[in-house]
Amino acid sequence: MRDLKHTVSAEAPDKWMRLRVFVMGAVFIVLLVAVVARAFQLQVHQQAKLKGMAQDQYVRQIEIPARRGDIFDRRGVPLAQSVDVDSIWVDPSLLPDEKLAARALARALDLDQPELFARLAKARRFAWVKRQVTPSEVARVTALALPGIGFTKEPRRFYPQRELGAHVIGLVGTDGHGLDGLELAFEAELSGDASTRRGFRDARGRKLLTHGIEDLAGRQGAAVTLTLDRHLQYVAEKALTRAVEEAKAPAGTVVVLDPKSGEILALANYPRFNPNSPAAAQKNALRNRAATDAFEPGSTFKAFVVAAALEEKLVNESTSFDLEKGAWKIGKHVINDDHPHEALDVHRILQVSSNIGAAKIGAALGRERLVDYYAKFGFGERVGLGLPGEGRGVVPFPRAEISLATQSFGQGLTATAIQLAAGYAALANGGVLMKPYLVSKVVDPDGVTLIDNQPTEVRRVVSAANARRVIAMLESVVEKGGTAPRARMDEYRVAGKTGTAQKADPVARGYSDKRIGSFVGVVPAENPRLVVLVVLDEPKTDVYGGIVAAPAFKEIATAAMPYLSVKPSRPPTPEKPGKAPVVAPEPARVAAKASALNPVVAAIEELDAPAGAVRVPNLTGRAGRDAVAQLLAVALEPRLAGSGRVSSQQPAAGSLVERGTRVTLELAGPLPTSPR
Amino acid sequence: MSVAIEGRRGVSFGVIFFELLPAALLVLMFATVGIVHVTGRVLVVKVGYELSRLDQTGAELMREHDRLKLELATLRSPSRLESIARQKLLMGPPAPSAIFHVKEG
Repeated sequence: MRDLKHTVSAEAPDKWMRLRVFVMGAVFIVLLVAVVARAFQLQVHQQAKLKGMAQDQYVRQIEIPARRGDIFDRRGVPLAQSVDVDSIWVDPSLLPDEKLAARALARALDLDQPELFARLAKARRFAWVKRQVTPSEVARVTALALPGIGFTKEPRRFYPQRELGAHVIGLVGTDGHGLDGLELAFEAELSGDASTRRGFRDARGRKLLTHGIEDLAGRQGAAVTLTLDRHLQYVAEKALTRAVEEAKAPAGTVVVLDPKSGEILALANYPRFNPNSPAAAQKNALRNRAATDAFEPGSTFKAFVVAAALEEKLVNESTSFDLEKGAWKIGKHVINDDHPHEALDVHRILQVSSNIGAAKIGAALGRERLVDYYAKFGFGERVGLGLPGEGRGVVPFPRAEISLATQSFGQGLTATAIQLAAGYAALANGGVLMKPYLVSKVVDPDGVTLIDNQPTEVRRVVSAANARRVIAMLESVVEKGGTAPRARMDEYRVAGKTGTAQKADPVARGYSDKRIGSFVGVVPAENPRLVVLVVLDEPKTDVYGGIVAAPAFKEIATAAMPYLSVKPSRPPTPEKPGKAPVVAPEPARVAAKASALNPVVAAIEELDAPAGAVRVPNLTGRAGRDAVAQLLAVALEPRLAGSGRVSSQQPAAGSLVERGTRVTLELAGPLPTSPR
Repeated sequence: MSVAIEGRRGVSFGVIFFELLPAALLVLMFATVGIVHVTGRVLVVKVGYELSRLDQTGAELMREHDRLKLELATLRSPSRLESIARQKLLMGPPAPSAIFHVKEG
């Protein structure tokens, strides 16, 4: 009985246990299936959505603003560069007292306090205090130790050459977009594309890059290289400023052009402005007058009329015209010459700038041919520099006799300074008009050339022989008896033409007593390398181009010719006795002072006096600067090609050469300062 | 009672060891994989911070480079050079007769 009881009671729990195990097993299996199903739903079905939600919480798309491309002159000198600077922002919710904070910040940053306070009061969590500030402003704000103040880096555009070429380069706004000039015209190329980089932010807000660093070079802005030459631009701006100030003129323009290629080497305007602080610029100072303003050019157009008449075989240099004793009546109008003449030949008509003579040559040419030749010289159509607001000028068809006459001496039509310089460049280039251009290259950060402008021939306007004849006649303009003896250079032959145009009065619908004085010169006349146009608007001290503009031409040409290594047309004249030396009048004192300041100068002076041969030092492997100093110390002339350290030299080290011999150094290796 | 004790005493350590071995190996394997995974993640995070720091340093050096380039360009501006040449070194443009033209090459 005990055994039976024992047996029954032992079987029942065993069964019960099995049932429990089965039930629990089933429950666990169901739960497991549920878990797997849920996992499947989360990991497979909703994967994209949930992944995105998760990444939103810890992955940040860090925006990298594109670095704006630099602008260089033709020799690689930077004219516009971008540098990251601090901008100051604030979280107004963290400020204990917005009014006090606004007062302190306004004082530290020279801001308008009510305006700043209004900005802080309006914003909730973020407000700019001041963007693109200086390091000293950052220091002043940091010293305030205000809560909620933050600093962030933003690219700011700098123009290291300040006013130099500012009208051409233009400027950018606070947001880094071009507002004027080439900065605006090449906005797409210069600006590049902002890129984003994936990264984590931890609880402290620190950046955590777990996806590596991708190369951002391709997203940077492209570098723009201009045809401008910094040195010539400087010389042109300096000469223009001097001319404008001496003539008490409100504005002026200079264009320097290479007639063989059409490259614009300098383009200066007055008044100038500093693009680093454009707000300080005076009214109308930002306008690039050389490209935008069309004006009545006056007598500078006579050369084109003569060229056209020569081309049409209507005249030659000695063809004489009756100059009506200085007053020629056409209908109810009278054309006057400043200096009356009975009769003059074509050569002299250009030399003395006779309006009546030019009008008679124009009459011989006829309306259609006059207008046709003006168009061939490029007037009435845009040059196509790409600058914003570029003018085209107007050459109306001269229906009336008086219009034909006035258009023959450059009144009753308009042209831009660049068109006028390009027209003279065509004469200087053997009758072939080249397309003027300002931008030579645009290269992206990968080295891919996006734009490569080359000299472009537009058309032949007159034959080479006739162009040479006009240039030869224009040489007499700067000689005694011409209208611009002040443009004459002792060492170089100059061909040029003056212009003294009346300004139209749009209100009175006639001409005012205001003038535009100009001079355009070609130098050297026998093998032209430069065309220089100087235009002064409303000069006060004198109105004649030969008086107010010609000296500026001479100043520019005098500096430019040696700079461009142009051989003088004539042997240099010996210095007149008693003439003040170029360097200071006390050479010993000067030398002593210069030596004390500069060891290179001292070395040159030590070796200056004795003549004879010197041995070329071995410069291989030396830094460019050291090599130059060493060459100068032994009175040799260095000439550098490339950058970095000297890889080869010519003549070879140890060669005996005369003092002053040019030693060409090939430099190679990384340039520490300006990779492009 | 005596049967149960006897049975328990009859199971040797070796039997238990071999019965538990697969489970132990499984746990060890999971633990190893876990440690390797966590170590990997820690290294990734560490390298990520290092990369971020180097990136920051690179950006700062680039900024400094840009700033120095700008300073160099500013110091080389022709108006400044002319002013130094004229006022400090008492230099001036050479007289035309002092300029010698040397043939290229």
